[in-house]
Amino acid sequence: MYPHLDHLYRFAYRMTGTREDAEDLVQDLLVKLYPRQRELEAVEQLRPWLTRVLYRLGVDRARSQSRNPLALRQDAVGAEDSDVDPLERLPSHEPEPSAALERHWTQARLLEAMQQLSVEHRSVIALHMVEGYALNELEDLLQTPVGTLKSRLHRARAQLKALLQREPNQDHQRVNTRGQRKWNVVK
Amino acid sequence: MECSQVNTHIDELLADALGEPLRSAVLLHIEHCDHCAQTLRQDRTLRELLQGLPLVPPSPGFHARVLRQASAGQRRSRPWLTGLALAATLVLGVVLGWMLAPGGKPPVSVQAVALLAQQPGSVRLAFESGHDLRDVKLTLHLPTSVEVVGYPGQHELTWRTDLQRGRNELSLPLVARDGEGGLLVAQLEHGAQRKQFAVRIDVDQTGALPSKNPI
Ligand SMILES: [Zn+2]
Repeated sequence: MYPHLDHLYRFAYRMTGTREDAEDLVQDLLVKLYPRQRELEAVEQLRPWLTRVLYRLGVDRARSQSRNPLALRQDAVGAEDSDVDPLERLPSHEPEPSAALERHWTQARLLEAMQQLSVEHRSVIALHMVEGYALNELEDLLQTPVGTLKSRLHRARAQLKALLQREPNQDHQRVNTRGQRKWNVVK
Repeated sequence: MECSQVNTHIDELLADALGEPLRSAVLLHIEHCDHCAQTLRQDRTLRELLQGLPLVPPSPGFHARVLRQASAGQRRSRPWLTGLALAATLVLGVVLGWMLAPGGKPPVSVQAVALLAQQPGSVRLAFESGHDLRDVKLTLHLPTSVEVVGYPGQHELTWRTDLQRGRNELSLPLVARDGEGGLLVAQLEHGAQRKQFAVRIDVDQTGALPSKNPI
């Protein structure tokens, strides 16, 4: 598996958006597959196969983390293919006449906005638009129909623009979750 | 051409994948439509920012570490609980049990973690509790240069939760702004009992992203 580690880390980093989570994900994958090395030897196209398993594992991990009641993510942003337009959930903005609307759009703010997307939305936008995977390649690697990928891409872009459009450091969110959150226990 | 039609072609336009005569029709519309011109401008900016996003390399020794753990860790995948993973993934072990369960172990909590400036990172807090505990109040005090992703400008977050017996974990998406870091203080209150834990957050400014839009 060694020759594939760089590829797997890179893929995991785009999926998760942080070094720590990417390293964890790759490690999870290796621990899981280590006892099955015989099986792996029989896999013809090992890299795409590993990538598919990695993606599945990453989605499962993200879901179980989002079920962790302590996850401080805003549930409203990045809900999986929901019918509600994400823009409707975000504060509305008066249209600015000036062309300077994007003056606060920076890579640093974009990275934070990406962390507020669901793992499925972040994956498709990062893998397609940052890493340059074609949608039909992603159809195979993410085991998701192109139509679904397109709609995720569309929503992800709309969410990112809406998040970037907020004034920097604007205080939109309140943490008030009394009675709704519980801790996860890992035995 | 309607705005809604134009909208469906902006992506292809930016990718230089729009053929004639559609391309000219779209461009003509945009020339006369402020709304679509703004969409084009924003989509182009977003595209350029995305294409320039850096790849943060894995931490030093990652390859060897991950392979060693895979071969040693025949037990099921439990990266949160293994010693090496703790170090590699910034898991902070905070032992609560001694306070809540008489006779438990003393705390061994304070550690330092490093965040790359302006790059979201994942810092994990883990609490051991000797009992199931209802309605625990958890307060996080963050250094002025550090925020929880999605909660801009908030340096104190408070919420109530239940602790279960055993290990309770919180994965905290943090981002460090310009500045030096400082202490993150987690305070747990249950009834009259209160315990604070401090974690030092260092900010690594090497490779910090530009704070101005490069476009
Ligand atoms: Zn228009």
